[in-house]
Amino acid sequence: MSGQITRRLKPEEEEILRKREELAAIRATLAERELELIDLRSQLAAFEGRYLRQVGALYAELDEWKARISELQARLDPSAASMAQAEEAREQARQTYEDAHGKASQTQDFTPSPDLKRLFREVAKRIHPDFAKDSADLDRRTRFMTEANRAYEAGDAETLQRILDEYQDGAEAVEGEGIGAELIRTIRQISLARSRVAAIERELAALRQSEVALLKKQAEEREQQGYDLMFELATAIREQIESAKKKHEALAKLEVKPA
Amino acid sequence: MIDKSQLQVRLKDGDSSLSLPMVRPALIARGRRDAAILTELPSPAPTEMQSGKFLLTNGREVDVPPDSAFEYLRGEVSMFSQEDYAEALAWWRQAADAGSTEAQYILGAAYRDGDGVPQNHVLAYAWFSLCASNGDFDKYVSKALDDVVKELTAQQIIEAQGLAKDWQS
Repeated sequence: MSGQITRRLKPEEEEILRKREELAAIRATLAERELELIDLRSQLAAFEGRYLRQVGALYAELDEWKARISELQARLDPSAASMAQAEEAREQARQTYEDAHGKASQTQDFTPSPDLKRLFREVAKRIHPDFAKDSADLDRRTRFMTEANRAYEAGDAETLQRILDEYQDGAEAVEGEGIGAELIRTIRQISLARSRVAAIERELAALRQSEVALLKKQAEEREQQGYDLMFELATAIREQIESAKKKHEALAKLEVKPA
Repeated sequence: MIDKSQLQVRLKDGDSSLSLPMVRPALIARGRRDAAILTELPSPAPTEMQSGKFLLTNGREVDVPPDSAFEYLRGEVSMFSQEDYAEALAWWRQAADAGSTEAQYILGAAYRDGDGVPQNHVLAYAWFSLCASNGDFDKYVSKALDDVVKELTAQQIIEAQGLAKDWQS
């Protein structure tokens, strides 16, 4: 009788061991991917911030001059077409200003230390919401993870450490849980983690194809050739601004018709 | 029991705390386009003014005397292919004021034909005679003056010559 019981339990025990290992491996992979994602996002956001400050602000200035020129032209030639053009130019100037001076322009450069990376990896491995055992645990994990993301982006190692200390990982074993229930839970967690890894990979691929990432790549390639693309762009736009100012001045003279 | 759909919603909530690129991609794309132009082209050589006929976007042709190499205009010539006549004229006006004889000629033609400015034969005559007084482009200017003078009264001719004299000084 007892032999029968042993035979029936043994494969389950073996299975749960294998699944626990698998879960540990996927946890490590997931933590790595989460780190990669947050790093890429932060780098792109930081690059975007720099671009907006160094180049975007100049585009805003250029568009302002273009709008003024169009408005002057509409006064010189008050046709429906030139009025519409002036309105369009004004709207473009407003939008460029908003984009160039918005919240995104304040993002500063981001260089996480190896220690910060290690802490974040550890937090993601232990606290990731994909490993929640019930909805209360999910709530807690989600809250902790959100806080961890913020702390990482702010370079705040202390908070990351505190999150790790505070979170008591109770998911390894659930009291009163049978081996069958643990097996089902573990399989479900593995599956959730796998789909999260796949989702992160899709997001990484999409981010790498975004306009910001492509511009960053252009800048890096240019840097290898010994040039500073942001500086080059800024110089070119400054020239355009100067030219637009002159044009505005010339048009303003035309507005006063010669005697 | 974990509801997977709920979980995904939660994760999205968590994600929104990250500083995602938030700017409309248009401003970034603009930089990419300009960067491509900057890095792929060698530094743009100053555009040489073409002699002969100069085609403007409104389909009109403007005579540009040969050997026109007025420094100020060089860099701006490319604008004429893109911008409308009135805009182009603003540049010519600036150049004419600065003493460019070809610009003076073009302004004369603009006032003669009413292109980009209200037609005004007195001003046309004034610009043409200013151009003529500088001694360049005789064959262009003398014919232009002959044409315009037919449109003017004796009083207007005197007025126009006076203007040209004032501008010259």
